[in-house]
Amino acid sequence: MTEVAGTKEIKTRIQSVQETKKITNAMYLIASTKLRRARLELEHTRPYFKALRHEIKRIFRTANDVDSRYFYPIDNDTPREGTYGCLVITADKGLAGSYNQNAIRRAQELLERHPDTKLFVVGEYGRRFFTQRNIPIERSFLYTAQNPTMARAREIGAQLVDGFDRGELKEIFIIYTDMASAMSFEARSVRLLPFHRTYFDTPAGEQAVTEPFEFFPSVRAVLDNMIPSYVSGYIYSALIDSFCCEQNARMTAMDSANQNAEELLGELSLKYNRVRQSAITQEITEVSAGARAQRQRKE
Amino acid sequence: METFQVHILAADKTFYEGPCVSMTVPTSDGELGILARHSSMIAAVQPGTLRYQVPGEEPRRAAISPGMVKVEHNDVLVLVDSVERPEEIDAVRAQREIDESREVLLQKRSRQEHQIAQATMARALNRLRVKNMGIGR
Repeated sequence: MTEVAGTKEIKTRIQSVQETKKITNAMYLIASTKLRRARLELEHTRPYFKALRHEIKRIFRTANDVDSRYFYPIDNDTPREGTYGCLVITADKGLAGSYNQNAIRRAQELLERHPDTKLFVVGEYGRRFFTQRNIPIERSFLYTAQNPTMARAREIGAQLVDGFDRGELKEIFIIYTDMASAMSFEARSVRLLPFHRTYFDTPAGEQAVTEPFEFFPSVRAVLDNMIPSYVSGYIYSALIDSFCCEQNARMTAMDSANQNAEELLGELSLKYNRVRQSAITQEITEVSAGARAQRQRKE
Repeated sequence: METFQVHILAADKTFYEGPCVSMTVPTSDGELGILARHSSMIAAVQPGTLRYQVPGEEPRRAAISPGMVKVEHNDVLVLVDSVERPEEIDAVRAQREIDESREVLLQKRSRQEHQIAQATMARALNRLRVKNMGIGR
């Protein structure tokens, strides 16, 4: 036998792999519980968000000559000059496959295209990433990635809209991870403000406005009231969406870690048994050889 | 009395969906009453008290935050950030929020913080008001 490692070494190795597996397994379970809860929350927000978008769209089409700072001017929808604001949603922790990297890559793409961009970062991972590379962060929101709430989203949204209202931020982007289906997700970069006029144009076949609406007090006032809600609503659903993806990514990562551990344990226990067996064989050979030698001397 | 359909949607839940006899919404121009067959309109909702009456029941009230209300074909849609029933409101928490935001307002903080504190305070005051009205009834 050419085994070098002794039984003791292999045994400690097996133990350490088992310990790690316990941790990854626990993380898997925690992630799956969190995912279930977050998904439920996502389901709760969907109707509101869908209705809000739908209504803005319809208001916009009823009165599409409305001039609002939240829309691009009617005949000019080239990107604006000046400082952009970008909200990047990452996780607080790593160990979630490529989840964080994808979101950060999107942010870097945006920074390359438009270097004059202020970053607003959600999540500890993103904050650390950008600080390490000396990329200035305008504001980071800690402890938000773990527990997305409407109040938090409102706070973030208020800051972004405030910057936009004062003209400090000309355009606002949000980078989050969208769950396309249960198994696949992708990092997305979406412009929140200003809106494209075409953005709210709808495919044919939607319920048309049959009677004109009366607006109280005015179209602009209604829109001004709705846009901040829309922004905070978007941020809220983006936070939850990202959180779901994070947990999902972590589940997948931990699941494959568990599988790897299983495989490793299988290999190690095979090795352990082999070494043990060969040790026993050797001992028996030695004992019987010794006995034979004794017998021969007596004769 | 004739009824109409209402959908009251908050960002985190669907608050109420069903028939309704009458409804009062706080808007920037004052309280707006809605009965069946109201003409089509869209209005900006201000933080305040929402009152609505489900057929055969006592009028209910709820604290609402800014948003919009839309009336179209006897169908009313209320879209707001949050809606809370009086019994859901935690008076102690609301009072604490009021105190905290008052403190922030007293200190000369940045404009942004000032605005956020003001908005928080308005919401908390509104919640407390709705809560206390609910008890007095």
